[in-house]
Amino acid sequence: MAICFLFHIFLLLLTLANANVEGDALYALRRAVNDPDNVLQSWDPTLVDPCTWFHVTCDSENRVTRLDLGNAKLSGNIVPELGKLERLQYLELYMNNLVGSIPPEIGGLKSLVSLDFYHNNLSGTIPPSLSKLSNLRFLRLNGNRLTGRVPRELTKLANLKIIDVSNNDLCGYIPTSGSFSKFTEESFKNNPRLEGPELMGFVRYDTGGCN
Amino acid sequence: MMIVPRIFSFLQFFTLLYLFIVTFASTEEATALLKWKATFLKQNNSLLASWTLSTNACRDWYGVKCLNGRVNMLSITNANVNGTLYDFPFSSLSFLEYVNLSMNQVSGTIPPEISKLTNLVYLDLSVNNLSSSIPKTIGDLTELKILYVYSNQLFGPIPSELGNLKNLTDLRLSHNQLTGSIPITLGDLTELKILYLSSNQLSGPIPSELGNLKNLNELSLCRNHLTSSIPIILGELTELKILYLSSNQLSGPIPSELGNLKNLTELSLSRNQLTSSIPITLGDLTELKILYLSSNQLSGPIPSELGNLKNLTVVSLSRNHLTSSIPITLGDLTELKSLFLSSNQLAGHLPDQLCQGGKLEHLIVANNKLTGPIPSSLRKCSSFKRVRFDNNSFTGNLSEAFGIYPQLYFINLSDNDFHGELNSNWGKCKNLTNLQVARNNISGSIPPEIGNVKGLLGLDLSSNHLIGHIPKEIGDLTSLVKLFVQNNNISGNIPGELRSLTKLESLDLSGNRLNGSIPIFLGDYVHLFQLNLSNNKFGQKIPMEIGRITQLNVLDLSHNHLVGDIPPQLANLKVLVSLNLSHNGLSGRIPEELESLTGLQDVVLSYNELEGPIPYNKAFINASLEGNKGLCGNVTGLQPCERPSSVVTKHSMAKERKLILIIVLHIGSTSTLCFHWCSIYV
Repeated sequence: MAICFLFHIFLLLLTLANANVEGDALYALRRAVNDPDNVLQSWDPTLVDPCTWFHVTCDSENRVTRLDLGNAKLSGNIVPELGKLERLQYLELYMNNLVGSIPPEIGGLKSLVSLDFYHNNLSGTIPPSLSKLSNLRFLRLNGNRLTGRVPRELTKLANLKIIDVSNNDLCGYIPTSGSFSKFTEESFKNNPRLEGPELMGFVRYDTGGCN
Repeated sequence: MMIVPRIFSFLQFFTLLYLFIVTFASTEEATALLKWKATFLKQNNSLLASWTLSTNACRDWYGVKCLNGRVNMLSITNANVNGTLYDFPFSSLSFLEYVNLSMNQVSGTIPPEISKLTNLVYLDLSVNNLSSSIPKTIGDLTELKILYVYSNQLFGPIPSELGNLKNLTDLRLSHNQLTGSIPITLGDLTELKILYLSSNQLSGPIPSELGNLKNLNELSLCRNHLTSSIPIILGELTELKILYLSSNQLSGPIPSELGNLKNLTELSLSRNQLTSSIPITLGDLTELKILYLSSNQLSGPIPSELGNLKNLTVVSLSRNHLTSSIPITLGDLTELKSLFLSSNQLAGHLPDQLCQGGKLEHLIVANNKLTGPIPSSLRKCSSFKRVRFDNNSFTGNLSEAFGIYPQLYFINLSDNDFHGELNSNWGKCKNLTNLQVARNNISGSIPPEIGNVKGLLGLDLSSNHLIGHIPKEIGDLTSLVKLFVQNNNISGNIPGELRSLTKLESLDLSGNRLNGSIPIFLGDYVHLFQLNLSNNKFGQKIPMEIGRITQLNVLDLSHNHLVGDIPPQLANLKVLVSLNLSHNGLSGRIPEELESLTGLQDVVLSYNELEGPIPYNKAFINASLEGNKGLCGNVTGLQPCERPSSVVTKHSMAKERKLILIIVLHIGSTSTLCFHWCSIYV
């Protein structure tokens, strides 16, 4: 019977939280992480929007533009729901203990200017869907345990000014076309299995040897 | 004489036969259940360890109870059962009356064979991973009183056959993906007391046939896509205690007939498209504790009759088009804990007696056209936890309006016409995390007592008439994330004690009369993404330590008296997007290191004493540079740079050195070769 009662309350809380998509998306993050410093204490899902939550910044239309959770001792996963924050410009989750892979849904953040996941414990591959982030200027994924190739799709990111995927476990060749033509090897260093810049004009055998 | 022993042995025989049949039948059911258990994915289930062939199912098995030797009840809730119902022995367990498999990981479909459990009275499959439509054959389980399938992934329509379950008292289908309309046959379930269909994708109207459910106590249809009006006939459900219709697309008015629901304790119609006024008949719902009408298009006044509802604890009318004053009668609601009226067009003053019951915790009236002073009853409202008065036209003296609130964690008074001073009382609000009094007419200085609020995260006193210095006690607010004091008349320098505010993400002290130098400890603000010190009287040089704030996106030091060079260390601000150093006395060259700041978008360096070439960087080429001393470059408005000898020499000398090195290496290698050949020929 206690369960029924609790469920009743849960239903009531859901009624209050209503379909505020952005608050729900952020609250999904709160549920997925361990927060020993109670950085997310102000994240109250019963409020009509997350704009009074600390470490969240909104624009004049109460849409989330910044998420600043760098160096916050968070552990756990990056939830795919974050991809619903269509006006998000700055996604700052650097220097935490986040694990798991980067959800491809992050590619849905069409307003994103800065994606900082550096210095975490992320694994898996860099999703090619990040190539949809057409406003992306800063992409810093360094200091994780990312594997697989640097997706060639990322060369389409015309506004990309800074990339850092150093200190990971990436393999294959570094793309050199499009926006990547201005990046140096500095951005890719300390990836022991990374073979170096792809050589344009040579026949490339996709050996699939990047495993 | 001989007949008695004969009858006796006859009886013995039949007793033995009966016992034999009973035991045998039980074994058949036990075997069937064990066969089902064998299909589970996890075989070492500790709770079901008692399920063996050697034990007596009726006596020893966990969760199994028998009646007359037949399995009558199966209750294995929250037992880590990870399997399906495909092999559930529906045909063998026809005596089952009670089945509870809730809170497991049962997946797959609900097989239509479930209708074989003809004696079923109670069926609970809730909180599992079932993924199918609800089989129509469930409508054959005519003994069913309770049916719970909530929190699964059931899809498809609600079968109209459910209307055959005439004995049903409690039906819960919530938290699935059910689609289609609510079948009108549900109106035949006249014994129904509880009907939960919430959190699905049901569409279409609320059938008026639901008005036949005269025994209904609780009706929840929230979080669906229901349309059309709320049927007037719902007003006949006089046993109703709970009515949740929120988060749908219901339109039309709130029927005044809902005022007949004398037993109603909770009414939620939020997040719909309801129009017209709030019916005054809602004032007849004397048992009402919770009233949610927020996020609709309700217009007209708040009925003063709501003041009759003495049991009200939560009233939410936010985000509508309500007009006129807040009824004084709302001050009579002594049990009121939460009053949400924000984002309407309410005018007039706040009711006098609000919080007279001493229980008011949440008072949210932001974004209205409210005027007048704050009632004195709120000064003493020590139960306050979260208060929003922002964006109204409240007046009055701030220190007289507000008192000490030991449980207050959030208050926003911004965008009003409060005057007077911030008094030391705020320092006694020990639980305060957020204090916003921006854009008022506050005068006086920032009370040092504010430093006592150790848990303060956000402080916004911007756009007032504050004078005096920044108290050093602000340095005690080590949790501070946002500090906004811009557009006041604050003078003096930034106290060194503020070095402890290393959690700051956003700092704005612009538009004051602050002087002294920009502190080098700002370099310790590793979380800072935005720094605005513009429009002050800061002098001396820009500290190179600013270059350590590596997360900085926006840096505005414009309109000060800064002198000296722009430190090249600013090139460490890799994610800087906006840089404004205009209207200062900065001299020398723009460091060429800043060329590397490829992320920069907006650069304003105008009205300084800068000279020399502009960095070869798009943002600098497009920058505002007028009013400087001698900037040059291939940019409209600037004279082209003469080949300044020092720069060219530096470059060409490096080239020359490189060339010499290459020649030497080359010579070195050929001489080795020569030697080799020579040695071979010798």
